Amino acid sequence: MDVHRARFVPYPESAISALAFSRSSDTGYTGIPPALRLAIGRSNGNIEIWNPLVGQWAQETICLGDGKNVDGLAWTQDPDEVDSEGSVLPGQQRLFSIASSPAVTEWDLATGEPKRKSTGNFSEVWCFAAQPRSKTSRNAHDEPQWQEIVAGCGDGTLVLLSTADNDLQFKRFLARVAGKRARCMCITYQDRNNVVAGFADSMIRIYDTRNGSLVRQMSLGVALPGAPKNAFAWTVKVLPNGDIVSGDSNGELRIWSGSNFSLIQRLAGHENDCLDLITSADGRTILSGSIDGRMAIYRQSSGNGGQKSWAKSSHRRVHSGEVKAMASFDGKGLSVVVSGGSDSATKLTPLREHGKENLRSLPSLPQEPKVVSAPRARLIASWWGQDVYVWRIARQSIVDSASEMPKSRKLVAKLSLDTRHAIRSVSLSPDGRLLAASTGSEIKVFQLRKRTELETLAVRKIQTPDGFGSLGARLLSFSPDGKWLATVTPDNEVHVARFSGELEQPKRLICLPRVIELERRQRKVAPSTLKEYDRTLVRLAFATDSSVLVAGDVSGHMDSWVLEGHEDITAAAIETTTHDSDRGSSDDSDSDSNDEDTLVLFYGQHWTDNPAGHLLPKLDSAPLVLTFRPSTISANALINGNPGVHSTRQNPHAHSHELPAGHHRLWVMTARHQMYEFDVLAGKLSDWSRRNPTAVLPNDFRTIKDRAVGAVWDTAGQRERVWLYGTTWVFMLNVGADLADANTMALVTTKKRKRASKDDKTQSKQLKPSSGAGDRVIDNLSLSGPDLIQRTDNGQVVEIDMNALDKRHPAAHDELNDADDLAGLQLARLRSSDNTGEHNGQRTWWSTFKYRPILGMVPLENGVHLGGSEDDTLEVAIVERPM
Amino acid sequence: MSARDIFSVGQRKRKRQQRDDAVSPSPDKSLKRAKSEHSSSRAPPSANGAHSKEPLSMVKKGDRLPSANPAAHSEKPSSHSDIPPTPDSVASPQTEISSHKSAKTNNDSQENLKEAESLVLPKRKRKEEKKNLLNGSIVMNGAAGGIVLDESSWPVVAPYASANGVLHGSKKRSKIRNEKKSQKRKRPARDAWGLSSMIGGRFLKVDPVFTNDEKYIFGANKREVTIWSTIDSLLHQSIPASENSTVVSFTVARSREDTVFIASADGSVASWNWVEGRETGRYPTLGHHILVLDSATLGSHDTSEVLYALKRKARSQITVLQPEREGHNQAQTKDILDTRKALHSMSVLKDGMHILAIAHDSIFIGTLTDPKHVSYDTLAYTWIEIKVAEPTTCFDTRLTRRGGQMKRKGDAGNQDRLDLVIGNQQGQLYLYEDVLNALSGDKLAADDVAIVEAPPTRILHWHREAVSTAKWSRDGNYIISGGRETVLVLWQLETGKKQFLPHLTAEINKLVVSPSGSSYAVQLADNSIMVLSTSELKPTANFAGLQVQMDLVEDSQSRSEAPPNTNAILPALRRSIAVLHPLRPNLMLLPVSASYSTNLQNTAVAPRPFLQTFDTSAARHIARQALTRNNMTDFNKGPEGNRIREPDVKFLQISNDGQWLATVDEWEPPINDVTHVSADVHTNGEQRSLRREVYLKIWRWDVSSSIWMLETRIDAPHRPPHDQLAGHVYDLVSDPSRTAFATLGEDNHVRIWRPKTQPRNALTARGSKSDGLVEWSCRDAVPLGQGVGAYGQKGSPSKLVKPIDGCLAFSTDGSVLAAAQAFREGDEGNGIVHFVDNFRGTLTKSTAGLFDGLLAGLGFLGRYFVTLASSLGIWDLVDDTLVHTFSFTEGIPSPLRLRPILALDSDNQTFAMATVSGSRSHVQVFSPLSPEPLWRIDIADTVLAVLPARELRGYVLLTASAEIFTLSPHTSTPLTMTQPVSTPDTQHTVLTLSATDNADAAISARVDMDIDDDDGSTVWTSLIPNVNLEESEGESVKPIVRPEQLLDVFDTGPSFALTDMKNVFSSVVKLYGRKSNLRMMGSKTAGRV
Repeated sequence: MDVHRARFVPYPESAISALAFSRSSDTGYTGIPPALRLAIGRSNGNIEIWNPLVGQWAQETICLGDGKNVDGLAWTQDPDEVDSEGSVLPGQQRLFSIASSPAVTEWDLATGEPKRKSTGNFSEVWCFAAQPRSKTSRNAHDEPQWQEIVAGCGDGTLVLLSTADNDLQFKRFLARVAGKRARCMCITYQDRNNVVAGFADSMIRIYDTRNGSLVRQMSLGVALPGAPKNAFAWTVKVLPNGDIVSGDSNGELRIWSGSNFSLIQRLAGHENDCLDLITSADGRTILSGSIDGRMAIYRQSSGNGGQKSWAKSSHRRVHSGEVKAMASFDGKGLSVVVSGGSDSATKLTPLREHGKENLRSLPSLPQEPKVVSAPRARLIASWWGQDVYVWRIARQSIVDSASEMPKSRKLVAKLSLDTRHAIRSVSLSPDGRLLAASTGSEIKVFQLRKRTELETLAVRKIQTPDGFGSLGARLLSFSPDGKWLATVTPDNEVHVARFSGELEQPKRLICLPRVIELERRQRKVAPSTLKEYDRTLVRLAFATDSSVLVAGDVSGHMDSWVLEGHEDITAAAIETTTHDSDRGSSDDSDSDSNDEDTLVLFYGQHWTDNPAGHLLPKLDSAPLVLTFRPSTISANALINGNPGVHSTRQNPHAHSHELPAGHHRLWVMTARHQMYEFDVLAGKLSDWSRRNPTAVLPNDFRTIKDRAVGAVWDTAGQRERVWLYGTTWVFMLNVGADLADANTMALVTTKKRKRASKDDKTQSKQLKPSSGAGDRVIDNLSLSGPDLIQRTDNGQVVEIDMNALDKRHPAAHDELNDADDLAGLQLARLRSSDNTGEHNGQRTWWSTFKYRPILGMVPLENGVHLGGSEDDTLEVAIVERPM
Repeated sequence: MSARDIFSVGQRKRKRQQRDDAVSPSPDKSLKRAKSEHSSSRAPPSANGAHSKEPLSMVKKGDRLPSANPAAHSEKPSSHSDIPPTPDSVASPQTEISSHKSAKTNNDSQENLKEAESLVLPKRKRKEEKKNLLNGSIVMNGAAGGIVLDESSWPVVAPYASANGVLHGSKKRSKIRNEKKSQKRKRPARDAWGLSSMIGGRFLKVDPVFTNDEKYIFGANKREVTIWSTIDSLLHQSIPASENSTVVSFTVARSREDTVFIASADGSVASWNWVEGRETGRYPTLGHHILVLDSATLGSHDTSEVLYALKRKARSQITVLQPEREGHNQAQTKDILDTRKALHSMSVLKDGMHILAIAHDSIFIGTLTDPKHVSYDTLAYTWIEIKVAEPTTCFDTRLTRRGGQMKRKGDAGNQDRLDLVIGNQQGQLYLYEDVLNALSGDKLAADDVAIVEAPPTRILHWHREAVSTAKWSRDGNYIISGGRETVLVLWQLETGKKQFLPHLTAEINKLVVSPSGSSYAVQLADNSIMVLSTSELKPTANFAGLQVQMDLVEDSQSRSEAPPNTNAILPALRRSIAVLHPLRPNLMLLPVSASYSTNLQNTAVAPRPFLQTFDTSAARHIARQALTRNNMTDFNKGPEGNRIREPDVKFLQISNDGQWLATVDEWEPPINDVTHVSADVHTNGEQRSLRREVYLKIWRWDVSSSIWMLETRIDAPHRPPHDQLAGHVYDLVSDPSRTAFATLGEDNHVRIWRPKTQPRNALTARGSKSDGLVEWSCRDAVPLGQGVGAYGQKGSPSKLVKPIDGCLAFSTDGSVLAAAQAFREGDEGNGIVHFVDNFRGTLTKSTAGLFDGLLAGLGFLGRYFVTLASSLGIWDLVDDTLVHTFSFTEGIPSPLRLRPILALDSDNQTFAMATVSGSRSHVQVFSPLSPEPLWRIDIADTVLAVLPARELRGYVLLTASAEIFTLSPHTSTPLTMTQPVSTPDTQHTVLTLSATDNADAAISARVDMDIDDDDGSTVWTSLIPNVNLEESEGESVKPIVRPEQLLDVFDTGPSFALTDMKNVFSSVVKLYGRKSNLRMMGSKTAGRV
């Protein structure tokens, strides 16, 4: 494989300014707790939605902001509803943000766009907080308790906003603090009625939201010498027992009684400002972050005489910049503190297992590669903001041989889109002639042409049909043959546009004036607190022969469509026909596409639902890599047109229903790093996938924590390899052969049978008995107490594993029960992989961590394509973002 | 009080006449007075009216000639009651123990003392009988004084033995006799020499221990356990190690504060009643390789002590021993822990309920298996071992009772709450709270998982490097820690705030908190213990020793923490270059490093940027000042984490008038700093030498501020011609006849440096000084190459061969300066001695063949010229003949060994030579007239310096254990080796005598001392408690004024009846304004009343 290490793409990273979990713990929820998501707000206004996936942490979607720093994030959940059958429908989870403006914004997670902004006339919002959710009431007659939002403003006013009836309305002013330094720096609810707010005049005030009365004000006192005269209360939080914790600009942590608001304890936590802090669900641990990047942990211990007191346990420099925001989730399987700051990396610190597990850093680069390539034209495109940059990569041979050493790359085009919003997606057709770019409200397609005299590209905008261009798209994908452009609108509709050359000037590409929408399959899904968000499409893939299109959504469902018929250049570019009743295979589908009465044919081809689409199973999690295995058998001899299809009277618009031939094997890697391969048209797992379940993946792969970002196929010659990559790693899997030998296979299959009854989740949990951050610290390097102690009594030595004792806790019990046969599997895996991936004389896998962080890895082709010769090596460009 | 008065009256009259006698003022003025009185013009001194009650004391000076037959006496110790013991006889056994260790010396001297003591005893008894019965402690206290020497005698004193002699006279004596027989000595007829017992010594790395009343603090060095008074910083008393062995560890009994257990390297443990000063027991069964000793009483009903010893060789063991067992004659031992882990610290808590021991990677917590029925026979512990990540360095525990509301279903044994703090190599402190609850066996065995959780841990991280010590404050609210950063850190646990006490003089080795929590004792790496008050963090007492370079070989072996790379360390060990002050020979000046505990990984020995002034007579640290730049209290790490090296003071000399100090310091950048400029590995040295800095600094003694002030700095005094590098200086000597220094350097020149008063406009530039600004400059530069021509070996100046070493010596009258250089093998010029006319600055003669091999030293002794190289040669310069030559087989000077040391005493026409091999030294004293050594002795230590004791006869030896010995002939005037003796506290001394009795007793005792030269003096001091307070304290650099003294001044009556303000003022001035100048002290105090 030839690798171009591309470090010239100046993709900007932006600092983390706000963090929020959709809920902070499991307590208070009955039944299945609502979905857990982490929202990360960045200084460029983007909000990333992450799915913790019990410690696997995958970025799902990005809500593109307007460039304004996200100052705060908060989640609410609407009150549960009881439907007519008496079952409880969980309320919707809603995400709010503030961004240096006098408004609170609610986000539509499904579209990734702002939904509404708060009304009311108040000044710039500095901080806000959501009211704790009321205890779910089973009584349907009770008034539903909507969560309120309190916002602290720069002029010292506190504003109450109501989220009732799925709206965001100004309710009333809660208080107005006068004075020069009355800025409200931080705010939180002590309980459902009392609000604790920290002000820049070094006061912490408690208000009763019911009547707006000032319950109490506490002063932080004068700052230390050298510091500004007034201490800022940078952050206030409330412990589960109602006690208030404040972090101030002196780096001190103060704990105030929740009942009488007296100061209980002062702790010198940091040498600099303490910007944020979190508390654990059991109220016995506090973590604080400071401006110097250190995070300190405080634990409650019984001091002299058994009285409880807080003490700083340790501190550690976690961030290279400051710790701007912190959020924590302390639940059953996951107990982790997330922190972020100007170093733009999200750091995960174990909370319950603090000191026993390592820290972990989440990649700061987007999960979805922001690099695309046109392999045949050797173009690379990357985008951010309103700009698209296109580079051409010189051929390796030229670079090597030419005496004048031309530059190995050249910026050949820079497109600045005249849009208000940031570009969400860009696609290049493989021949490099088409470039499509989309924002949340626009889709623009350009034709790129090589200029004869200059190296730069000539860019021509292609007119798109009315309505299509204003749809906007979150995903764009050109088909491999460059004729189709599939788009996913912000509302998660899939549209397909057809491009072809103009009749007079075949080189001049146009978009055919008709764009069709592909219907997604309606599914009966369990009620979700995220509602429509679960249907958000996150990946889109064309088969290599452009005849199959697959889209995967956040919940793991996949929709697929096939292109029926054969291209008939002689046919009309667009034909419209009524929907056939004799579609046969799609009869049993519960699709209500029957309503559709027209069918659009492009050159005799049309898109229709995959007749086997309903057979495709739901993935365990959102797909991260959705790619078709390039078919090694070249497509059937080119059929020109659709023979045997003739218009008749009954059928004036006769069209072929012939399905694409050959295997269309869809290779999937999910957010849980589960590997599947589907024969899409058959609607089943492929034979290879049956022989090679996820369990046979080498241990080296399974220990990789960063999720896969994309994949590149290497199918030259006899090779069938997929090169997977994540932000920090590149991994090659030889999928042409089986990954494991028969022994391992046997073990794996028995395992599978054994576990068949179990929840699929447990498998991944067993492999990572961590609480959501890094792996366990090596035995005796643990910071928090011993892991293993040895007891000697009358010469008898007993070893006691302290962690095992911990694990006897019922919560963690189920994770360990079949650890013993897991050991056998591990052993077998070890055996199979101790020849470093050599299997049957062929390397089955290979990995490297040498490139980092990887923004994207895209294939390139040598222009003088010889068509699958043996020595044709894969050529890729790995785009790195030097830190 | 009357005793003082009487004494003082008698004293003051003679003070002025005796100034010359008081050459070596002792801190304990009373002692000194005793001596000076004795040596006063009155002959016999004991005829002094007040003191002459005893006929026995009327021994004249003249009687004490070596002609006395001490052998006869010493062989008949039982006949003591009639025969006055002469000092010679007392010390005589010393004379022939050359083949024995110095430890042996101690024994012998002890024996003698016992005899002496027993001689004294009957006389004294008459007056002191009652007193002795009442308080043996007085005797003991006095005995702490160490050595008091008469000018005409040279006894070797080991005071404790003498105390023993008093108290266990008969028993001891029989023992002595046996030993005498077995040793079968024969007495040389020659002038006998003797080796004094040591003074100084280095504090062991054992936690100092406060007494419960905090008036005393226990420390220990190799040879003795010392008890210091925290009130006046003086040595209260010391308890010697067992014979032939060294102190390893000690502990104060938990049940009885007056008992100290001392573990020796030979595996025995001795129990001492330190108040009474007697050994109360000896248990030889505990075994070798003891590291830590601790004690506890088992249970509440049983008050007998049980000793816990941590032993480590291949395995670590904790052994218990119950010294006093009913029904058992022989103390038995019992191992309670045996582990492969290398334990290095141990502590026993709460009546032996818990034991804590730490190894580098584990913590062992032992709990009594059956706490309800504790007895020695069934003593068994349940151990819990906890692995820790970083190598541990120190720990402390805090045991409290659990609070009432924390009722767990555990039994009463678990009511203890044990907090543990552990310091590690990374500079972190790990704080484990309530370890027992989390880890106790019952809990672990139980299935009740809810209770079991890892103990809450806190990590306190401020120290950059290994934490040396960490201790809880008494109230448990603070942890006080110290390490290599010279900063004391006080952690307020409740708030997490830190307080610092920065800029201590050296790295912190140990720290203990006093029982009441009112003070900390900090043991620093400059061999001192400082007592700080907790409230103000101000030092209240300081016990400083010699800060000589540590003998790394010896240390690493005894500690065996890191396998010593002997080859790497040995060459780095250098001779100390101490000098004695020419006018005050009791003052020793030596360059010292910032702290002696250099990192063993850092094979290079620490440079010595500081000057320490040490009073050898008082065994007191006088002053310390920096001579070069240093980074002692700064952040002294380079970007690569290597420590910044200071310049090393290589030579030090004081001019003949004592006003000027010349030092030579050298600095080369470390190799790492030049690798980037040097072409290859081999040129590293070249690049380093190009960047070498060599300074000759001349300092003037500033009387007002009592420090040496830099007057002139000469950069690169021996820069070779046409060369950029600053040449080495190979030797520096001081002109005995005038104020001048001579240096010999790499440029083949001898340079003579003289002061010059700066003229300015034909007038003397005075500056701020009345005697004019003085500038030192090179008056004469004598090239040494030319003189070789006389022997036809003239080396052309163009290709001047650089010497690699050199040696200088002045003749006694200062007229001739001899210089010899050493060249690389094969180069010309080896073996040539050049004689330079000092006054004309010309080379007068060059003689070849005076020595052979690598030169170690040379010097003049009148007409004789002594060279020490591969052989020792004595040349008669007048006859130009070789008088004697002899080669010595041992201690061959090789580059890997310390070179032999030559010291010449021109006053007595003797010279001494010390050779070192390994950690043993061999010292021989010669007369130029005789080929046989006058005397020789083996010392089980590395002798770093041998210094002629100037006006006094004999030599002062300085060893690597920071100990000073004096070697002197018995007929000579010895150095007064008197350690200051802390005044006994009334709590330990019961004064029951009437005033007159007291005085009489005191005086008579003193007279005894004068005659017997040994413990009489100590008795005398002990008998005058409080009364001679001022005198004894007056020796300290700053006068110590006790509150009661002030009270005496002010609390004279009601305020309206106050005495004249002037009187009050003068009284106060007298209290505070006593001169700290030792020489002036006598007259000053004399004139006071």
